[in-house]
Amino acid sequence: MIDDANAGAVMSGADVLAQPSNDPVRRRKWRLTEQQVYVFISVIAFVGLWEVASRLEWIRPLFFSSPSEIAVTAFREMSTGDFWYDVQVSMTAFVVGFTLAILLSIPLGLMFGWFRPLGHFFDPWLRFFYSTPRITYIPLLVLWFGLGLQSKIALVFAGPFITILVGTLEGVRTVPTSYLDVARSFGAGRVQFFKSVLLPATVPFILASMRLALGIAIVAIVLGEMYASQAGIGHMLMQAANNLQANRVLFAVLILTLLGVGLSKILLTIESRVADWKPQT
Amino acid sequence: MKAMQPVLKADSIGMEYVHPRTGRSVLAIEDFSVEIEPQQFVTIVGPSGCGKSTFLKISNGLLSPTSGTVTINGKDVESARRSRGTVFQDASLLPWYTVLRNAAYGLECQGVRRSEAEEKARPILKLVGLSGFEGAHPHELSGGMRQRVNVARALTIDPEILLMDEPFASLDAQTREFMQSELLGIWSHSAKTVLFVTHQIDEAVYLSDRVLVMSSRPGRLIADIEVDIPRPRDLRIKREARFVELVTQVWDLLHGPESRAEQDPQIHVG
Repeated sequence: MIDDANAGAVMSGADVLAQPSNDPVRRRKWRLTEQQVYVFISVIAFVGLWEVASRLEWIRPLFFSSPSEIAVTAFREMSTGDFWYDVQVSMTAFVVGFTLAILLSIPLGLMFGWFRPLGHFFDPWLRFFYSTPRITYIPLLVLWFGLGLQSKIALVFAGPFITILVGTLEGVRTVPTSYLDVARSFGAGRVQFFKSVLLPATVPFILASMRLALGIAIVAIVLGEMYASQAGIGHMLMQAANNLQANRVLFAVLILTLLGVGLSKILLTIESRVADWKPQT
Repeated sequence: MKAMQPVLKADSIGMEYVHPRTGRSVLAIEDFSVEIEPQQFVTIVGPSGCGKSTFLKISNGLLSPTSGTVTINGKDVESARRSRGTVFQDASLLPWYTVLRNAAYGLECQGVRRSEAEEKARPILKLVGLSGFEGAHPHELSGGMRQRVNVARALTIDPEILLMDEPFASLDAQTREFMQSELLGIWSHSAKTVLFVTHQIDEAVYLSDRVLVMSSRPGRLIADIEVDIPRPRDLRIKREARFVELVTQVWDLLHGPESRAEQDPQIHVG
């Protein structure tokens, strides 16, 4: 049958992207893709060059530190209670603020999308707060909540809240009307439509906006701690910079970057699990 | 009760709407009446914008006419939703569901439990030639296969009448012809009444017992032509004299003086 032949071609399309196997005897696990090889070489070359440049004093070690020095610093920091206290302080604000943002923004986004007049009513405010540079909230939040955990939670909450809300709303608004026609003409009720169309169509938007919000939340926590806190990774970073401790600054940068990369990787995994119906790109 | 109660009865349907850009009111359908007998295959042909798809949307409850009524088995279209199954123009499958779940979706919408709906969908998928693809997702299918699922979804609810809105319009010419003959095969097995909308004259003649010809806007019924070509019909009949004759007859109707298209081209809006 003509059509079946086509379908076969479409489904084997994914294989085209796989690496050609030149050496079928070797076990697949141990083979690196070409891309991975370049990434590996790039990392080794850059770290090596940095180390050498710092040792031979092509660059000033005081300002630029070196990979080995950062490694030693990491080891030392991680064996102190102060460091773990900073981590705990930062993570508390992060987890509480981000969780609150998720819990409030998704239902509100769905609601604003579902009841159109409500969405239009809040539209100007959403656009306003979406566009406000978040850093400008800091003085105001300090004024309201003082220095410490509360103002940091508020700061971590603000950006992700508005980002996920707008993303969810956008998701609901872009549900193709043809799906609505199908559900309506077959007689689906509101609950059925919500479960079978609205939610599955919107979840990818929610997850994508959460990933965007993650970066915003990490920036928020660092900013909050640099300007409005007595503890936390951001505070440690600021202190180290003031004491000209490049190694500690870079260690903090490394920790924050790994946090961002790790969490966004988790979200990406969830995204690909939840939206496994999407064509592979 | 009469021996042959029509499955679908449209009584002087009128449809007027306000054009979103010009703000003027446009008469899309004017005084359109038709009766469709059980197990008939009836096609509406007409130029783009003649209101044929609008009439189908009225028949499946997505639009309300400005005047007149459509009844299915004597009931209004809203309460007759179990009696009508719609096949949409673009397949409109839900991309997050498998082929099986999509085929079962119409029943699920009517409140049937998922497992039960899927059991009913399996033999229908087999009927439309999709056994073995139950677990595939729509993006893995070709255009023709998606339309098969679209047809299966409508058949699974076991309706009295299938409402088909240009279902093959987006397929390439070869696949379209293939799907036409497949549809006739499915139709002869399922004994359903079909109301089929298309702008392709040869498609209309090949498939139908009756071809209803509509004028361009405002859409009015200008002819009701009986297709007396015996069934089962092979695709080869498209080259036979009687077929060509009927196609020419419809073509003349659409392009002749009865059609408003040439008389009043300004009527073409949107």
